[in-house]
Amino acid sequence: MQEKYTENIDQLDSFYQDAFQEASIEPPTEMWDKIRTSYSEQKKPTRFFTKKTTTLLLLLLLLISAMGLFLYFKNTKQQEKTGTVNKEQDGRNKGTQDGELNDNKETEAEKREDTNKETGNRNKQQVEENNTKETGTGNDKLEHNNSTENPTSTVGDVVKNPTPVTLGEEPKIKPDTASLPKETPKKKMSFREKHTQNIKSDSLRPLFVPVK
Amino acid sequence: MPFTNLIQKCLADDPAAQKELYKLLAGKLFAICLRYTKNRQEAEDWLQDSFVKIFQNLDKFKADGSFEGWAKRITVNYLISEYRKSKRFGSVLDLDSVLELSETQESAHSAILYEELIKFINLLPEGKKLVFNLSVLEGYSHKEIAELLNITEGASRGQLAKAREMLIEIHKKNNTVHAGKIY
Repeated sequence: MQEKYTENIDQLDSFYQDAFQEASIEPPTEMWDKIRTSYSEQKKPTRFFTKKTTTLLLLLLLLISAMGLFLYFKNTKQQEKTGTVNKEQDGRNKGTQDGELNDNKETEAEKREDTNKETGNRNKQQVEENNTKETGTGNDKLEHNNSTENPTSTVGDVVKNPTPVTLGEEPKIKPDTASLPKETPKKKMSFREKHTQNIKSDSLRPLFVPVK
Repeated sequence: MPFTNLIQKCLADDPAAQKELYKLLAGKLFAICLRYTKNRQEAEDWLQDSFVKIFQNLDKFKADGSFEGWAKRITVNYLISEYRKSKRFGSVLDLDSVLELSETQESAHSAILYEELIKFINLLPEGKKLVFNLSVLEGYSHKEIAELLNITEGASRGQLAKAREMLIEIHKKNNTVHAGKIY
């Protein structure tokens, strides 16, 4: 009984399989038109996010983010550098401002001394020349007026009011302070002026300053 | 491969090629649709939707396999999804009522054998019909059927056994020529 049942089942399966192997039932003729209209209505919308577009977008995003990060780090580094340089510069400026004032005073005093010495030497030479001229005429004592006697002489230009000179004595010559450059009184700088000066000097400073 | 050129043209949205492809497959796919439903109108609707799915997914077809097999698989998968939507699995048909129905069917001596057999298959309850179609006629394993229908493999085997019993009974009652071959 069981054998017959299984045999029947096998026969049933193979019978149906054979029957449906090449089964074909023609659908109604209007079917194609229905399919065509339905397909054109349900056509797949063109996808924007295809593989190509997504990869391109991802690459673009990566590039932009990398550039952003690069610029960000670059700016922060620059700010750090300029910050340290400014501090150094401020320190230097503070030191030099005090020092400059003293230096200027010293240099001016030195200049004055130098010019005094030069003019003194010149006067001495002139007086000596005059004396030698006068001794050549035979006068022991002579009231000397260089401006009238020797108009071409340049000494007269320097010494306008000559004092009477006796031989053997050194002439007392006052230095001509009028010909010297006048010392302009140092103008006191306000905080704002100093600050603007610093800014101007900063703006001229190169962006990349090698840190020693 | 006879379908290769047609597929290429169909992908280029050539209506003539699409019609040619339809002509080659329509009869076979309609036979499949008719095996899963008693209602002819429903089978026509399923065929229409299946073809739309085939045309829409044509770019996914890999040339290494059979195009006809691929198209049949798309159709069957679509039919199963429709089954799931309509939740027909629960319906159980009484065998006596099936036999009564079968008596009203056309004679077993019909010229078109498979159309008659389709009617016999459609006399089965929905779940059993589905398992019988998938296992015997589509060649799915019980594991695949279990996954597709979301049932256990044992349940699939049980449904198939019952479907076979019922079909034998139908053939006996109809006293068909085929029954003579089977018994």
